[in-house]
Formats: sequence, C-alpha cells, structure tokens
Amino acid sequence: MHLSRPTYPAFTPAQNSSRPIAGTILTPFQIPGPLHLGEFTPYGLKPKQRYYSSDPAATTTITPITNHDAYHLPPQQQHVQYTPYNNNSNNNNNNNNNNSQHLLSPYPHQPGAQYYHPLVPQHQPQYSPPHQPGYRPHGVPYYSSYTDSPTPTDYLPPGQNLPQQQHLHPQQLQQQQQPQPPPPPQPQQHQQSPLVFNQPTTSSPPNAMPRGKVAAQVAKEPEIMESPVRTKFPTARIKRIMQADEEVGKVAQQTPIAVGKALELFMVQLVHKSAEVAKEKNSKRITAPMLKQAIDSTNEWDFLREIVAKVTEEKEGAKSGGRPKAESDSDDDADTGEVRKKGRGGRKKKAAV
Amino acid sequence: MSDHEYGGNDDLSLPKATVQKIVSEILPASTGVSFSKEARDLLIECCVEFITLVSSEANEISEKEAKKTIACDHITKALDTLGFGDYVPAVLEAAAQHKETQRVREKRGNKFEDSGMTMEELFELQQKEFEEAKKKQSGEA
Repeated sequence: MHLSRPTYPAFTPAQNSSRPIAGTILTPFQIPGPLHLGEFTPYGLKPKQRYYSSDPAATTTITPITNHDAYHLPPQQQHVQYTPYNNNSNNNNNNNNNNSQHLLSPYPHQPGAQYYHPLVPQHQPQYSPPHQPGYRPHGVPYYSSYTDSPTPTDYLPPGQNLPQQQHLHPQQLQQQQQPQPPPPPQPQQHQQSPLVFNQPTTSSPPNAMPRGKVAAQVAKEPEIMESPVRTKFPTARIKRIMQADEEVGKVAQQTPIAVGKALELFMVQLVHKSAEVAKEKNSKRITAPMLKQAIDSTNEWDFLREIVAKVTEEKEGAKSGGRPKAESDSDDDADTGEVRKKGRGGRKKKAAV
Repeated sequence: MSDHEYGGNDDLSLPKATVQKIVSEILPASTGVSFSKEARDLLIECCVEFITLVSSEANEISEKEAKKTIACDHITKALDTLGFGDYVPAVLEAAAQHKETQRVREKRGNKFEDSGMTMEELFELQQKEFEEAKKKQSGEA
C-alpha cells in the first residue's frame, strides 16, 4: 500500500477514477500473451506442464491409458479400432500404403502381414489339449516372453498375447508416419512412447499396477522390449543383500541397479524354464519340484542346486499322481519352515555383530 | 560398516510381494499358469543366492583390479564369468538409463532454464508483474 503512493505520485484524479475498473479488468485481459501460454512463470510451476494441463488437449492425457485398456478387448475390436488409420494412410500417402497395410492388416493371408499376425484361431488348438480345457492359455507365456528375446523369429509363433503387441507396433509406426492422427489420444502417446505403455498390458492385467508408476517407468525405460517385467527390485535391498557378504565392501551407485537388472533377467529365465517343466507335466501350477527340475536341467544354475536339493523328488511323483493342491499345501509348510530357518540365521548374524 | 542397516526383519531376502508381482508379470494371468507359494519362496532364495554369487564374483574381480568399490563394470564381468554373458547388454542399458534419469532429475530443478526465456525477458516480465500487482494493490486501497 505504501508502495503505490510514493512510486506513483503522477497518478491523477482522472486515473484514480478509472482505477477500480482497471484493477478488476486488468488481470484477466491485460496479462501479456505468454502468460496465457504459461510461459512466463519464473515463479514456481513449470510453464510447459502448466500449459498442457490447462489446455483442453490435456484431457487426452488420460484417454490413451483407458484406450490401452481397450486392448484387452477381443482382437476383433482392436481391428475395428485400427481400420480408420489404415484408410487414412491410404488416402494420404501412397508411400505409407505398403507399410500400413503390412503392419495393420489383422488377418493372416497376406504374406507380408505374417510377422504381425496373431494367427490365434488356427494355432490355438496346439496349446489346448482337448481333455484339459483350462490348460489352453498355457502356450502364451513362452511366446509372449519370447517376443522379448532378441531373436526375431520368436515373434512368429502364435500366442494369445501377440495381437496386443503386434497391433501396437503398427500404431507406433503409424504415428511416426502420420504426425496428425485422427483420434485425440495419439499426440499424447507420441510424447510418452507408446511402446512401453503396451508392455504392462501384455504382461500383466491392467489394474495390476498403478498408472502413475507405469508412467514413471515409461519415462525411465522407453525401449525395453526384451523383458516383460515392469516392476523393479528395491535397489536398497539388493545392495544390502550384496553387502551381507562381509567381503563385499563399497558398492557403486549404479551397481545395485545393474544387479537388479541381471536378477530380473535371471528370474525371467528361471520362471520360464519352470513353466516349461510344468507344461511338460500338464500342470497349470508351478511347484517347487518343478523349479528344482528346471534348475537341475541348466548348467549355469549349478549354484542353486544346493538350495534346491531340499526339495524332494517324491512329492513330485505324488503330485503328478493326482491331488496337486493338497500336495502343494503340505509342500508349502515344509518349505516355509526352511525359509524361516534361513531368516533366523540371518538375524543371528546381525545379532552377533 | 553398514551393519546398522540390518535393522529391519527379513532384510536379507527379497520382498515377497515384489517377487510375486514380477512373477505374474512374467506369467500373465491370461496364461493360466500360476506359481505356487513354495515355489515362489524357493525362487526368492534362488534370487538371493544369485545376488550373492554375482556380487562375490564381482568383488573378486574388483579386488583383482585393486578397486575398493564394486562398479557396474565388475558386475558385467562377473556375469560373463558365471555364464550369464547374455544379460550383459540389458544390464548395461539399464545402468545407462538410470544414469540418464538421474541427470535429468538434477537438471529438472532449474526453473529459469525451464521457462525457456532469457534472463532479461524474465526480468522484464517480473517488472511487469510488479506493476500489475501495484496497480491492483492501489486499486483496492
């Protein structure tokens, strides 16, 4: 208040009379242009984000995600969704024609489209022994995981999950070819690398992970195609486990992250291997003996044999005989017992120190 | 030296929920394959063993190189030695990405750079803002 008087002695009564109006009207209209665009903010909020969030287009921020949920719908619906793109590219650009058709055509009969084609209907029977209806989806994990492996041929085998990933590829390419896509969600996806958004949908149910977390990971790792795993191990825990070995001294900041990644890949292999074992046994449930068998069958996992040795083979035999549930329960008890023992050992160590 | 960190319980194993989540990401529910509880516990033990193995191997390597700190490099070498050479590229990538995000995070703090304006522009804007505020104030007064 005292500011206004000394600094504006020149203010005339005339100005004073118009003052109230100026005071009220000024703020909304006379604010310089950039302010409306959110570019000015030297104080506080980040301008760009503010701009987007206040912009009507920002509503799209949410749409793409819900859109992805739609990928869980049966494949036909997805095709319906994509057809417009196809038409567009045909109209707009002949060069795109080949690509977009190749990528988007949902049905198999074009040779070029084979790579991206789900092939679901024809091949499913392979994975569904008729006597075991519940067993049918069994084939999926391997292929969905193989899609992550670097060898391109692994994309070919059919799997239920494949359509999702495949259709997302064309979508991504489409975005690159066509900067102005018809539906509103597209620009947002463009920013946020759609590839990774897809991954959670293929590897886990949509609700399995909070969206914010997914987005954060998206930002972190835009290109991970080789692993379906989105969740990260807690690095602090990994570091602690590493340093539990008294010989291990200092550990660089990056190291637990590297170890965590290696661990993740290791887990993926281990789980897949044991899933294969389970598949061989026509079981839907992976049990400890199956894990053991998977470990025993792989040379690099020699170091796990000791750990796994306590799992007895007998139970395995009994299991394939008949009542897997009851068996696995009893197995459970035995196992947790040992785990607990181990835990105590760890604590003792701590107490001793 | 870091013994005081062993405060919590279950410290030397991996969180079950996280492992379970990762397992179900590897084997999505749509596959119909589930992982039994005892298998998961066994898996956790295997994972811990894996970490221990890799870190002790990496430790040896770092000692050979007369380094006191285990770096990423040692981990990748250890993975190679242990027959997990195929993990190396992905591990390196993850580490690099982590570095990248950290750098971005550090940068993010600078509001002035974020504003995309020069300091003079910002100053002008500030002056303008002050004037607006003054007018408003005197208008109300």
